Formats: sequence, C-alpha cells, structure tokens
Amino acid sequence: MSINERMRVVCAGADGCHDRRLAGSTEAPPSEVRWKRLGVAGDVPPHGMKAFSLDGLTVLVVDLGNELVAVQSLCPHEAIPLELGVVEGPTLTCLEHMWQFDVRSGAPLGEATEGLQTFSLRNVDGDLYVAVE
Amino acid sequence: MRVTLRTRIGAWEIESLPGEKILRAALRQGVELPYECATGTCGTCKARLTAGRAESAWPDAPGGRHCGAGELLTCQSVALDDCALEVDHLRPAEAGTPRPATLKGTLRHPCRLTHDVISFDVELESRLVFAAGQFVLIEAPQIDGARAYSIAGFGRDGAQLTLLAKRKPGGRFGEWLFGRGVEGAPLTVFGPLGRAVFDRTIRKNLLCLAGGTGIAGMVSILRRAAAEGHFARFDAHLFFGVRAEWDAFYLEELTAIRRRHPRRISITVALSNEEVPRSLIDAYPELNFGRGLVHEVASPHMQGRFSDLRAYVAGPRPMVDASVRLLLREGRLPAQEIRRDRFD
Repeated sequence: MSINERMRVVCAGADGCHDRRLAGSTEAPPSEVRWKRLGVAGDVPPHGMKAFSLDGLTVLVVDLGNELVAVQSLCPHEAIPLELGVVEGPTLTCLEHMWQFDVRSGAPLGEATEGLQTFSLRNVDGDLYVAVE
Repeated sequence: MRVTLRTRIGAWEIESLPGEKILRAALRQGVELPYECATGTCGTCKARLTAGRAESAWPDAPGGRHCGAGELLTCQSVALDDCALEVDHLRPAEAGTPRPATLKGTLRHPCRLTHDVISFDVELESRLVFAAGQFVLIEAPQIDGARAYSIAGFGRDGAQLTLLAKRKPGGRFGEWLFGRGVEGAPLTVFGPLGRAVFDRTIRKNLLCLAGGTGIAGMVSILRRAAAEGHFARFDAHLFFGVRAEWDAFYLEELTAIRRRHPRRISITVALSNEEVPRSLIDAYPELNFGRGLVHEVASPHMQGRFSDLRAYVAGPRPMVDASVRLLLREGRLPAQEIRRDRFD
C-alpha cells in the first residue's frame, strides 16, 4: 500500500491543491507545503476536540466521528480558546458570546461575523500532521 | 457631548449627557450597541475609540481583558468631549421590547429571603414597560457602579418592580442592602435591558435553568407565559439550583406557579451540596427535588423533550456554561433558542 493510500486526508483549504496533488495531477502546487507532526490522533476525545501547539502555532483538532478536521484554536471574536467551547456535529460554539462555526469549512454561523482559518490535516497511522507553509 | 457611533454599514450620532455611560446614551436613543451584562464583566460592549476622548469609570472592569489598545467598554465609559467610536455591528433588541430609559425610584420593602438573598422593591416615578425576563441597572447613593437585576415581579402596573439580590463576600451593594436604613433610599434605574425574554409569539415549550438569584427572570417568564395562555398548548420545565436547603427561597412562589397548570409545568429544585432532606420534600409536595448541579438534575428529566424548545439560562457563569453545554450537545438546540443571563 502506498503512502498516499495509507493517508486519510482532510483538506479544507480553499485552493484544493493538496487534493490535486494526491490524485496524481501534473500541476505543481502553488507553494511549498511542509507537513509537520502535530500529535497523536488518539489524544482527541471521541466527538470532542483538542488543541495542539506547534512552533508557536496552536491548532484545534475536532473529531467529527468520521473524520478529523483542524481549525484555528482561538475564537476570532475575542481570542477565547475554542477548546473551552462545545462541538455538536459539525457546529462549534464558543461559549463566551455564542459565536458558532461549521468546523468543516470554518464558515461563521448565526451571529458570528468572522470565520475560522482551516488547516489541512493528515492522519498517518495515528499521527496527525498539519500543512504549514 | 456628541458621540458618533460607526459600524460596518453606517454611522449614527447621539447625545450623551455629562457623566452618562455611552452604552446607556446609545440605547436610550435607539442605537442598539451590543451588550450582554451591561456591568463591565463580559466584554461584549467593547468598542474602538477613533476620535475624541472617552474614559472608563471602572478601569479595572473584568470585561476590559477583552480590550486592546484604543478600545473600551461602552457600558463603563463616558465621553469627555465629542468623540467617535466603532463597533462591528449593532445588535437589535428583541422585537417588541421597549427602548430603555433612566428613571428615578425609591427602595421599598427590603426582605431577607435567606442568609444571602434579599428581595426588595423599587417604587418608580413612572411605570416601566418591560418584557418578562428583562433586567434593569440599579445605582444607589455612595456606591460606585450599577448592578444588574432581573425583574422578578412587578406591581402598580409596572410602577413598582421586585428584584432579588445576592450578598457576595466583599460585595458593597449586597452589604448595603443587608444593612440598616435602606428603606426609602433613592435609586437610579436604567432599563429595561436584555434579550432573554418571553413573548406570546413564542410557539415552543419552555426550559428554564436557574442558579440562585437567576430564578428572578424565570419567575417573570413563567407568570407572563401563564397569563398569555401559553400553557394551553405548551409545557414548561424549570430547574432551580441552590447549594443546600438553607439557601432555598421562593418555594411558595414556585408552588403557586405550578398550581396554575400542574400538568403543564414541572418545577425541580436541585441541591448541589447536600442530600435533599425529607422535610423539604414533604413541605413542598408540588415541587420535585433532586441532588446535583442544575444541569445534572435536568439532563435525565429532559431526555426526549428537547425538541421545539426555547431555553432560558441564568445564574453564575460556571452554571450557565454547563447548562449551555447540555443544551447544545444533548439538546442540539439552535443557538438562537438559548437565551442566557450570566452574572459574574
């Protein structure tokens, strides 16, 4: 089994470049992407979330049941750690002012006026890697 | 002073009186600046000062941790000259709630309900129209800063309000209320405020989760709902959390509310710090009792009952957060059906 087949890729970036690369596209990716090890997938509680720190960057990994996704760890409203909030299905709620987001896309919901940055995430044999440029 | 308020979509000019908090000046003139606690703890009213001078009357307000350079809390700040502020957006009040105003009042009938809860009335110079679940800001002589209290009851067609206050260690307002000579004290009232309201267009069952004096707004909501005939078609579940038997109050009032619609309204008192004494259960046969935190006691009771629900949550912050978690996770309630008042 090739490394590509072993990888479970969740790509939430707007450009989709990672998808094209894995599908065998001959297009070169627009920029150099490095995958950095974030931590252990098993540390993310089932249907829960966990923040991981990496070189000064903190990323929130959310378990949606059938996949893991990664988003920015602080609420864009008042920089409250989203790990303190509630995730139900794909909806993440920050309890400070009840801003809500769809963690699959980062899109703001309801009263939120700003969304979440998303990160490409890969799970390779239980280790989580995030794409950083 | 002229204060210009800007959002992404427009600008409004208001007048603020000397010493008047900018949030209150805006709200009473119909410019709905965002707020939640209106007393300096939550940070929701944060705004950016872009011209002129304004200063906070409470520089150490806990909500100020949300403020960066050039930002201030409008609920605590006063314009020193003509100035301009920017917020992301306005937050329209609940439809049908009246514009708040400043009123003078007199403190009447202070009455200790427990060792740390007191009820008191405010006799107003004119009637206040408000929606059930709203709160007012109260200022007393010689005590800096306003305190927020949900309106628990009213008399004289709104010219008299009943409020509940908790005495906290080091809390100056509570200490003053529990002291002597408060009967007849002049008070300044600003309100009504808040979006945790009931109105007759709500076509849902009601869930009320209250901790301590958070029961105040719930009593208003259930009484208003009963008066509007809400319980002809819908149910209400109230969970009222206190620490122990000697912290409990308003049990007669809650019994009276239940009696109006015993098949529609269920009321459960949750004791977090002790087992429920048999004597309490026997004394209040129309109330349920449970051991645990409010959300812990509510959860098993509410299984299968979360649909078509409007939820109200009020109380200390940890209690409110735990309850909101329950509503979002187990209840899968949409955020707009969760109305909360958090007092810190």
